[in-house]
Parts: sequence; C-alpha cells; structure tokens
Amino acid sequence: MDPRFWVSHHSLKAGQQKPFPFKVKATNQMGERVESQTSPPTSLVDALVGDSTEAVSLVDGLLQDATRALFATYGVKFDLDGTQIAKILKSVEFLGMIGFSSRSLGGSLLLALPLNVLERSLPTPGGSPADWCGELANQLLGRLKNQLLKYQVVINPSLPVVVSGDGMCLPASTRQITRYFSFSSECGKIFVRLEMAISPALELERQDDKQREDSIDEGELLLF
Amino acid sequence: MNKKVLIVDDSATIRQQVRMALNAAGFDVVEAADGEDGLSMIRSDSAIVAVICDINMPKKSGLELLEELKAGGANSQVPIVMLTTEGQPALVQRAKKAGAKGWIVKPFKANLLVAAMQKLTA
Repeated sequence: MDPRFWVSHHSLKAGQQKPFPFKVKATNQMGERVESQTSPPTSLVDALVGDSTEAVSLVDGLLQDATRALFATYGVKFDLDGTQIAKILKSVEFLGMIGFSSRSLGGSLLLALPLNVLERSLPTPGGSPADWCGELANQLLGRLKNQLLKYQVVINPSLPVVVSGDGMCLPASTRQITRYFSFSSECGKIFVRLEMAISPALELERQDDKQREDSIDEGELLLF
Repeated sequence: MNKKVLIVDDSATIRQQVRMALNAAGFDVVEAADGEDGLSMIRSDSAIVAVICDINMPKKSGLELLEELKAGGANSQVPIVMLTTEGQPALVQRAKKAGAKGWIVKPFKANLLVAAMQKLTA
C-alpha cells in the first residue's frame, strides 16, 4: 500500500490493517469527538470509489500538480513524498480548510502547514500566517477548480476556515472518498487532504483548447 | 495628489500585497475586507478612482458588489477590476456584462496590476 493514501490518521499506524468498513474517531474543530465510517485503501484508489476510479485518479493528479505549482509561485519547491500523515501532523501548526460543491462533485480541501512554510511563502513581510494559510487553501482550490473546468466540471468554493495550534487532530472525513498527499521541501513538510463525494453520473471529458478560449489562467489579466 | 484605489479582499495578505504594488507606483490605497464594506466605501468616498475586488468574500460577494454598484447611485461609474482565483468563463462574462473593466486570476503579477490601474485611471 502506498503510504500516501492512508484513509485513517488516528486509528491506524503505519502498515496496520483493520477490517473494513470501520469507523474513524476524531476530534472536530469544536473539540467534539466525532465518528465517520470509512473504507479500505486496497490499492492506489480506494475500494469504495468503484466506477469513480477514473475521476479520482484524475483529481489526484490535478491536485498534486496544483499544489506544486501554487507553492512554486511563492518560492517554495515541493515534491510529493510518502511521509506518514500522522508524522507531519505533529509538526503542523495551521490547518486551512475550504469546502466546495456542485451537482456532480462536492467535498472539502484541507491544507496542513507548519509555520515555517507559511513564513517562507508569504508574499509580503510581516503578514499574518493564519490569514495566509486561508488564502493558500483558497488559491489551491481555485487552481483545482480551474483545471476541472477543462473537464467541464464546475465546483463552487466556500470561504476558507483556518485553525491553528499545537497537537492538532484532523476533523473526521465525512465523504465517500478521502485522499491524502504529503509533500516535502527544504523548509518543511505539508499535506493536503481532499475528501469528496462523486456522483455516479459524473463524466469527465476534456475540452479541447479551442473550446476554452474564454478561460483565464492563473496570473493572467483580461481587460474588457 | 495621488489617485486613490480601493482593494476589497477578505485576505489581509492580498490587501497588503496590492497596497505595496500600488503604493510603489504612486497610488494611494484604501482597504475593505468584505463586499458590504467595499460597496459602502465606494458610495461614500468620491475620491476613489478605481476598485480592485475579490469575488468570494463574506457578507457580499464581489459580483454582488459589482452588480449593485453598476445598477446606479453614487460613484457607480468607478472602474472595477476583479481579482480572484476564479477563471470560470461564465463568471467572467457575468462580470463583463455587469460593467467590470477587467479580470485577474490570482496569484497576480504586480506589474500587470499596476499597468491595469494606470490605464483605467489615465
């Protein structure tokens, strides 16, 4: 099993397996104990995904690329790695979370960062790390959204929420599919969690570039 | 006297980033953290000559701000450039139809932002 794709963070240790489905216990942002039922990662793609395997694989790739590109813009080069999420969580001081919805795809994106990464990527001196964490989550989901547009999937983002502190626990997954990706850089490790529910009716068909003439990419300016 | 530009964004970091870029180009910058405050500032301060506005914000979105402002009232002719993570053509067209003068997808390039403000306030 690829360690990047652990479903659970609290209940399982590295390499440990439990019978599935099982419930994950965790603490939410309000400090309440919550439970959610989860599914086994039988391969790179979770078993529950079923017919959505192709969509999940696609979103995985888009999210990994978006994460690397976002931080590269702000001067931090990240590479995907296989560090255990639980290990990274110990060094993380900020969690940025943002939800999204659409007819065919809904869920939330969580970005977990240590202070050092935030300080290194801040575009202005003396800025607020917490504010920046929320903006990074916002921009990361924005990049994912803009890539999904190429597949005619439109998601609607909510406003980001930031939690900071030591010894944090992750909010429990509440969606059908949960994906974890860890990244490392010279200034620290981060991870991204994407949980989502995918409609069986979702069809991903990439538009050709001629059909996408109206779209604008990151960093571009369009004057009317 | 320097031209005054309003930045409306719920991220203090983005507001600071815009302020630094525009101050360096000789603009004065005032700030609002949500669409409601942004609209109120535009209505009450006729010295504001251009607005840079995020879309996804608390209280009132940037598109709501734009559409309400352009529907009429004080300072409704002030040029607005949307600064957002969104690149969705339908939203771009909605903003254009409502009277926006431009659209920038974050992360923004400071020189492009300054050039847009200089052109719109010339």
